[in-house]
Amino acid sequence: MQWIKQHLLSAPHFYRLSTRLLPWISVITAILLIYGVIGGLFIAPADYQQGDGFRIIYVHVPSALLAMAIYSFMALCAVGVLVLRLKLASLALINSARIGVWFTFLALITGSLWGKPMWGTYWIWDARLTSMLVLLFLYIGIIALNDAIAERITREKSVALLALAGFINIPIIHYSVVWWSTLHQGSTITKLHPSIASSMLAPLLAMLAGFLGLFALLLILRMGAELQQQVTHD
Amino acid sequence: MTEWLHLSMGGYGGYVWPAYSVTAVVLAANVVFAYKRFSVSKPKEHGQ
Repeated sequence: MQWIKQHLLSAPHFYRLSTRLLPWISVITAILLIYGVIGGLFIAPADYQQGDGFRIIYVHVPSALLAMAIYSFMALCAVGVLVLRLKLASLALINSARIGVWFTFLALITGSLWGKPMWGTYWIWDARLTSMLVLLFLYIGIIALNDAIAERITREKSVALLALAGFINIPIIHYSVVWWSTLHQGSTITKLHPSIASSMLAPLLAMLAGFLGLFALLLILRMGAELQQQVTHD
Repeated sequence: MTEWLHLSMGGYGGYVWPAYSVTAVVLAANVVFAYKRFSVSKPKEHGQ
């Protein structure tokens, strides 16, 4: 474990590895996003009930899934901070929050743009929408807490504790459509047999992979910049 | 032309295009900001 901490999870190793990976991740992400956008907007057939309005799912679903996946990753980082005392985990946690907040914002905005033509309203206080709004506030709270505490160790521990406590919201978001009667439809792709035609599914999976690549790219860039700043200050 | 470009989106264009536009702007701004910060912080190599 000590070897992993000193080598694989060390700041210099991360910096070297990430700068080597950056061009590859950038190219693969760009290809996936271009295919996903073209496939989602022009190639996938219109939905038999929702018409072309359903095309919003190609930006809404990946944003929402990423918003939850990034928070889950942050909870994992919080364990790394509190239990393993990894410096890199703390850096990954706060930078993930700064990225995740935007994916959550996008999930809410694109969701309301989908809701208006489908449900007749931009917003309703239903379980899925409200729990997603709570997630946005959690992200903002974590960023604000990080900015409010000057002392490093107290800051890192407080942020990790809040991230870990807020993780309870993730299963609530996921199962909200099962536990409560909501306007929001059930899962489309997060089950063994997706309830979507393969011609519609392919661009959606490409967008999902592209958004994941974008998160990796943004995290590497943000962490790399911060690590370099720390080296300069030291 | 509008139909060929599929701009009307079967009457849903007013919702589909803003959803894609706001996503593109937010994500592009994130990438540009992150790249700029990374480039500024990058250590200069010898001889450059």
